[in-house]
Amino acid sequence: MSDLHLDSPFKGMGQKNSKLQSQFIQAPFDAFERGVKLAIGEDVDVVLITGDIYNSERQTISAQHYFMTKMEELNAHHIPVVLIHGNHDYLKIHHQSIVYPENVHRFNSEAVEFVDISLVSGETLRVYGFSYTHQWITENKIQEFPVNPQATTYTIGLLHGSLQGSEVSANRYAPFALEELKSKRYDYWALGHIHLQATLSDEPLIQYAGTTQGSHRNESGQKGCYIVEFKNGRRVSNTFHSLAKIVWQNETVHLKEEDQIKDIIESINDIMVNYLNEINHKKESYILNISLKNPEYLSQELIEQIQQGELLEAIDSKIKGDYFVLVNRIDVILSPYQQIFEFDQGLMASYQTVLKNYEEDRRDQEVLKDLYNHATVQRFFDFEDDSGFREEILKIGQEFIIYSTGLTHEIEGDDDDNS
Amino acid sequence: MIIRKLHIYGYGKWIDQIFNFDEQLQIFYGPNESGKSTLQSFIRSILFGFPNRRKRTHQINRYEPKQSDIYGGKLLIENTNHGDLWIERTSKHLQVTNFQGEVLPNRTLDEVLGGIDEDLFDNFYGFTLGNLQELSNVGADQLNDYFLSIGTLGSEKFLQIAKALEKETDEIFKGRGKNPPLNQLLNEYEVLEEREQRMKESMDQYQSLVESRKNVERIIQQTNIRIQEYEEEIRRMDRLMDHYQVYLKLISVQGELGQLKFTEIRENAPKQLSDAENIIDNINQEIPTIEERIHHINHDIAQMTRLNWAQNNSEERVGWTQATSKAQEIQRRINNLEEKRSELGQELKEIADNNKLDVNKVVTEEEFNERLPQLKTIQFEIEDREDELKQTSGKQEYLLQQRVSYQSQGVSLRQKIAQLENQRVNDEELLIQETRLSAYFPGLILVILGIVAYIFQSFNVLASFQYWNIVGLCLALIGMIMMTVVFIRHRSIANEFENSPILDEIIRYQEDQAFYAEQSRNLNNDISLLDNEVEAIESQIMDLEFNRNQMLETLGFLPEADLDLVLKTNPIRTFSQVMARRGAIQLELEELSQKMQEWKDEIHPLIARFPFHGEGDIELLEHVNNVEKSLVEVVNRAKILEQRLAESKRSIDNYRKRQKEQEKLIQEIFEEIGVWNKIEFDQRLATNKQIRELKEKESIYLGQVEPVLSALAEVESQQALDSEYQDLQRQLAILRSKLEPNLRERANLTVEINQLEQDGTYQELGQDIENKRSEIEELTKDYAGKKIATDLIYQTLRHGLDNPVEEMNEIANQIFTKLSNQRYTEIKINKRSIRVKHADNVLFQPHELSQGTLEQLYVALRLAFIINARTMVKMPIIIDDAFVNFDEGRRENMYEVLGDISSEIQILFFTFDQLAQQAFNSDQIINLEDIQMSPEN
Repeated sequence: MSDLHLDSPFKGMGQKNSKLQSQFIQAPFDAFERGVKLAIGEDVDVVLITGDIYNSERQTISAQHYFMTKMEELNAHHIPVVLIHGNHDYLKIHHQSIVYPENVHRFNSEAVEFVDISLVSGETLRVYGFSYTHQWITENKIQEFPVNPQATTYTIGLLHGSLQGSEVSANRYAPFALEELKSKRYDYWALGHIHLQATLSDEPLIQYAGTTQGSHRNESGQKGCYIVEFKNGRRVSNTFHSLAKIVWQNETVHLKEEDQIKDIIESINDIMVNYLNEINHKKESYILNISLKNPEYLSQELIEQIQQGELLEAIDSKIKGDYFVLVNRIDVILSPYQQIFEFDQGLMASYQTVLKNYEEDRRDQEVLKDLYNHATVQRFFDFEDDSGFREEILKIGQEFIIYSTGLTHEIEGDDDDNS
Repeated sequence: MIIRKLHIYGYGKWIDQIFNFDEQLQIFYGPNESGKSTLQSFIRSILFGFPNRRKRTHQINRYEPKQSDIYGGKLLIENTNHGDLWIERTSKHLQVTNFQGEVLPNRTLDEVLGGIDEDLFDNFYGFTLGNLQELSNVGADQLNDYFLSIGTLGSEKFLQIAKALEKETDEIFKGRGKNPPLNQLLNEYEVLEEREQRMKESMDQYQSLVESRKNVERIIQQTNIRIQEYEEEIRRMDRLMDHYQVYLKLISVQGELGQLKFTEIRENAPKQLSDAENIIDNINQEIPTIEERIHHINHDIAQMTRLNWAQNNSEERVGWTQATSKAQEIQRRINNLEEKRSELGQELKEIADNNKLDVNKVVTEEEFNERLPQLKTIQFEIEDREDELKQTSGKQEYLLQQRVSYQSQGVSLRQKIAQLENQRVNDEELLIQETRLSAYFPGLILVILGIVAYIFQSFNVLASFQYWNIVGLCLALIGMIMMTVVFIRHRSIANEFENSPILDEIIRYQEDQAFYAEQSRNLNNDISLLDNEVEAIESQIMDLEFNRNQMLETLGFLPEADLDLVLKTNPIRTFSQVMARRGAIQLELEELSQKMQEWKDEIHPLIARFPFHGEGDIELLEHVNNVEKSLVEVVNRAKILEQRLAESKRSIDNYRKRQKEQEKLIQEIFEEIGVWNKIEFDQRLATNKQIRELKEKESIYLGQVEPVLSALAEVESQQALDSEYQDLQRQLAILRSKLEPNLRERANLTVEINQLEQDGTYQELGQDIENKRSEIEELTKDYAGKKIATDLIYQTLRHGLDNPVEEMNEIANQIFTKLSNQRYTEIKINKRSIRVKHADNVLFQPHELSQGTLEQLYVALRLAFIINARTMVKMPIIIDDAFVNFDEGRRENMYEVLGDISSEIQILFFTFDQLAQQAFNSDQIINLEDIQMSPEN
């Protein structure tokens, strides 16, 4: 398993669900506990943890302590653990003094090392790996891993890093190429860092276990760990096990003509009930993000209300025992054909030109200079350099114009009525 | 696009109406309420949809027809990019068909309209008076912008939006603000981050805390071991101190034991001894009790005096008993006889009561029989007299009835007379009315007229009419005749009244009445004679009754006695018989009472001894029986007492014997142990008991101190022990006081460590920060989005303004020149300003122009823009009487311009301007009033 992020808070929750706050905080711990129970229950030969157990920048003793107790639990069941530290829990000096129980082997430096483990079956296992001692590792670490020396029955590599070119910041996190890994001829590469579970290669098996508990809406779906089984020198199975106690899900409601607010609430309610029915056998809570499609069937006023969160307020969480289903966001998705200045080709052309050059001209720096220069924003937020943010606000800006043209119609109409 | 045909199914007042627009410039002429607005609305509705509650911007009213079921209609539009189309819209559906009748998708309409919505259509293709009037509301400084904005379609609206959004952003965030929500959130975030920083620092101390705790724990452990050693020693000392006291007691017990000697005594001896003593004690107590009892019995017997008497008179008592039982029998008989006697007395009383007899005066039966015939005679005479009285009364009754009959007939006759007299009075009244003098009046007038006419003729000088004298005579004659007729009639009526038959009738009735009064007086005399007769008979009856009653009284009857009953039943006989029977019973009673007296004499000695205080023989009998019964009881009790006396004497003898035996046994025991008396014996016993107790204590003490006996033996003294113990306690206290701060430190460290390990506040804070972050991001996006939207609008519009269209300017110039009658020759437009050039080459800014010229400028720019907007769909222009405020010359210019423009773009002009009617070809005009003539059509 990987990326436990024990002390990571849930992102994008706002204040609405403060009652469930303790559950959010507890969720990564619960997920890890489920993982440990699974390991004990399945009586695995070894537990591999590929980094980001907690957040060094926001480290909590409580999380470390909890992790320690779980390690002791595994120790009591004679299950060895091999772990590395990643970019989030990179090893600081005083961390190195933590003494784990004897079943735990931690790679303590950025140099690739190995540990040999004797298995109950009489076979042997060698695990290669390294831990981060800095937040970033930009050099290629893969070349430090030796080609499988065949000194033991099985050889496994642990790596916390990202595939070259897979994301903008990939080169900061021990970047690797798939072919490089394959060339080491290991039996299994257990990867960490990417929170979405993904099997990059089946033979040899190279895969991200993903995080054990999603912490925001982009980490939707079930999260957990893999149990990989080897027998007689060959891999027999590779099974995903869901661990997350709270699962994020994105759902869409397609609006129909003449839908009223109550119809939308009903549709959302149906979705919630469906998830509620899952709870009994899946033992998961759900945080739903709802997208409303075809908003042109709604009045401008209603869309405005939905965007200001009034619909969200009308939808209560559903609770079933220790589990819940809640709706965290309701987004209105604009249909593509709605265009501004459609009636006037000249203006439309002007608009398109302005839009096209907006990012390039960095108009945002001029328009939002008050915001960017705010002391708190400068210290803690990175709006200015966040291209995703810039892209999003540009989209929101266009939507505002579309909504407003509709909305001003309404207002004028009302005035006429009054006069 | 050209609208060629309207087919209205039902829209407002228009029902099933077809309009054909053959002209490019189509005039709709009609006054208010002639349906101009409805037609405009229809065109808009078919193109853009019906007005409804949500979408009532442009059309305030709805036009559901009152007289038709179908709401809507269709338009034929030509020259679209889809060719000619029928657009049909009803309340149920929208349908677009091409000329071949193929149904096209509804979006075809959107494509035809090219993105123009109703709002834009109104802004650009609709001209109303309101548009022009609005000009006067635009401030001088804004006029430039206003005119410039005409050149960019919809820009005004977008500027409004931009301003509104800008205002909203100010409410969200200000660069140096504190209160806007985003500023507040950022401040809160700062606070949270500071708290987190502080927590982070405490996290860093964790390792050193753990280290310190380990050191402290080591110290505590070592100290604890030493404390345990001391505590063990103290416990040992404790045990010695506890046992030392016991040890001292053991020594003293052993000393005592050495001084005592044990005597051998048989085990049951003390019990035998005490048993014997008890028995003797009991006997000594028992004997006086029995003696006392004997004394009491003797005393009781002596007290019984009746006993002696009963025993002395035992023979006589037998005789008395027999006599008494006989006397009881006699007494019963006396009781029976007395009962009978009282019954007879009762019977006598009843006879006397029933027959009203005076018990004390009753005569004998013979005497009664002797007087009976005389009594009967008197009775018969009374009855005769009563018959006679009845007859006389009957006769009198008859006469009284007859008199009543006469009197009533008299009364009825008087009533009839009164009636007739009344009628006479009425007739007289009638007569007076019918014979009034006024009846002669018409006749009299005619006579007078005649006379006047006659006289008139005599003095007449007029020749026109010569017969007045003849007319006068005729009139006088007629008058005379009329008066005569009236007189004859009055006379006949008067005669009729005086000879009426009613008068005779009244006289006849009065005679009859006198006859009845006479008869009645005669009857009165007869009745008073009969009265006297009745009185005489009644007095005779009273005398006879008095005699009869006196006779009855002498026979012993009460005055109220009934003679008839006396004669029928003869009560005197019955009474005498009962009297005789009562006399016999009385005799027997006297005999029996004599016998009772004899019995009383016989039992006299008994009564003398036991005096009788009651009354009557029955109680006496009871007394005698009771006395005898009590005497028998006394004799029986005396016998029982004597038996008990004998028993008591026997038991005293037994006791004395047993006492002797026990005294002997005691003596034997004393001799066996070798003591002289009980005191010595008890002393020996006490010594033996003491020895046993001491031995018991010794063994208990030994049991307690056994394990430490040797250690105790070495103890010097209590004091030595105490001081050693105190020493140990002091050293232990010192150790403990050393331990305490360490414990406290460990506790503090543990609390701190546990807090760090268990406490979720740090996690909670993390979640709080993340939540706050999410809120900030949301609000920031809202803020930034609005900012960007504003900027986008400004940028886009500026882009449009920066590129004004030459061609449009050209067209505007032409129209403006024409409208202003060549007073102005040019409109100069650039990015920032608009100016117009006067014919004398002077440039004016808009605010320097008159209202009329401004309006012309506005119209010119609007029309020019529409014509020039090549990229836009050319929709028909709808003008709703926009120019009514123009003077005649300007209107003419205007209409000329419209005529020109209509070659390029269709114009639908709704007006009630006569000038328009003249200005345009009649083919172009649809007079709505004409259509109104046949509303059914």
